[in-house]
Amino acid sequence: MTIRIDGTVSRDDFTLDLEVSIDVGRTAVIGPNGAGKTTLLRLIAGLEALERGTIHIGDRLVDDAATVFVPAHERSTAVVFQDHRLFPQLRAVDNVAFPLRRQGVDRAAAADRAGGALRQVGMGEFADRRPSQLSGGQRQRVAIARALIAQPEVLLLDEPLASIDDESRSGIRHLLMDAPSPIVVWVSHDPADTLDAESLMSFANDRVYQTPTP
Amino acid sequence: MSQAPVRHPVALVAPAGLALLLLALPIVGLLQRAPWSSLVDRLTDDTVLDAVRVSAVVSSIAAILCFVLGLPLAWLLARVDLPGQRVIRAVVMLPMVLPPVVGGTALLFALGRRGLVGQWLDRWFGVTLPFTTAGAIIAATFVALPFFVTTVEGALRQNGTDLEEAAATAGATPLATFIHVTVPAARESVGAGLALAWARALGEFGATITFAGNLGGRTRTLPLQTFVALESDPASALAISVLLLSISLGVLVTLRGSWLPR
Repeated sequence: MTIRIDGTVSRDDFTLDLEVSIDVGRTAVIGPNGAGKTTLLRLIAGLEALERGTIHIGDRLVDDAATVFVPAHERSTAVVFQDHRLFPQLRAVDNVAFPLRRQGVDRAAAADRAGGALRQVGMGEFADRRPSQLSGGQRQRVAIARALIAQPEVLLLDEPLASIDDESRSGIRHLLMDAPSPIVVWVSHDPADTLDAESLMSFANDRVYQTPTP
Repeated sequence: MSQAPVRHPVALVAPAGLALLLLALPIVGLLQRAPWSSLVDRLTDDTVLDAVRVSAVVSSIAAILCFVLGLPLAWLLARVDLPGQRVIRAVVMLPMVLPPVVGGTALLFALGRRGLVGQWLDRWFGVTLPFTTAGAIIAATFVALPFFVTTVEGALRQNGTDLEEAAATAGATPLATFIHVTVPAARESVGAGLALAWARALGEFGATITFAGNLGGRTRTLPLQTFVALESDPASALAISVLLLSISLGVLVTLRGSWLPR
């Protein structure tokens, strides 16, 4: 399975040309702010569309800038955002159960699986808390459980550790490194996150350089 | 460190005080003349109770219609790039500034038995709206809708689309996202919009009397009953006014903190 993007999208101040292919494994994406790293993730997730070109996820054409655009909820992708984006009115367990409920899993079974997923990220005892009652690191753990529960083929991480305090960071980093999704695309500023990545994609000077890491 | 006292422009105090007096004096006048000892008797008088019942039905259904129709409209205005957005927004806001009697007249010519749409309602469905309770409900909804829509639209804009994007990537269809994420995130403003719309519907007079008339037990709401009683039984008019005043104050207290600043 491979994600292939060959196309362009224009930002406020420049046009981003993308000709990338992302293979199974962990791809670290680095580069300065505003270079288009988040746009890359949004294109894969289906939160933005290309202006020209195509995006394939595996064999599936998901965007051809004209007639085909598979919306975000129909792609087998999940995103962990920098700012957790948990639903404020839902308890942690209901946040994690959310993707299962949308797939039609009944309430009890979804809550059961969500409880298990929370325990896996070390949040078992906080299932009944609302996001406002959790620390930043705890929220991000819940967000990771929510992203992983539907077993996405592609996990997109948009600076998931940027707003996490130093103390919690390494624990959460390990959770993300252990994520079972076949393809993980990890946007980060921190060299520690890019260690052991199978490939490296760097955004610089309106170009994208791809290198398999040694 | 002590702060230097802020210098106030003293010349503003007098007009500000006058403005406050203008707002407060009528309330004081009303309360001073209210028939306190016979208040309960006057409010439980049969004609007044009829008006209470009509008002309760009309304002509640109008508030429900504001929710059912206004929530999607608020979403549309906040989230979708519509052609002619300015014109649409002006149409939505219009009942807030339009003289209600003009609104009632417009409703009559649109939905009356010979009106643009009314003639077909009459011919095809045998439905007649003017001078019916349903007509009073439509008049109340017409004037109340913008209060709900603008309150909720503002909240949707302020909340942004971050949570909606998270819902989409978590597998929620656009409709599921609206129901499970967008609306709950805006629930305080939805509640405030409902309270405002209901209060406006309850106080509606001009559009109602023009479009739905003044029929006891069917379209004579509390404001209309107040107007009628002012001629024949001023003490009753005062008693109803005290009731409506306390409801308005109740709405203000309910809204404190959600829509109005704490």
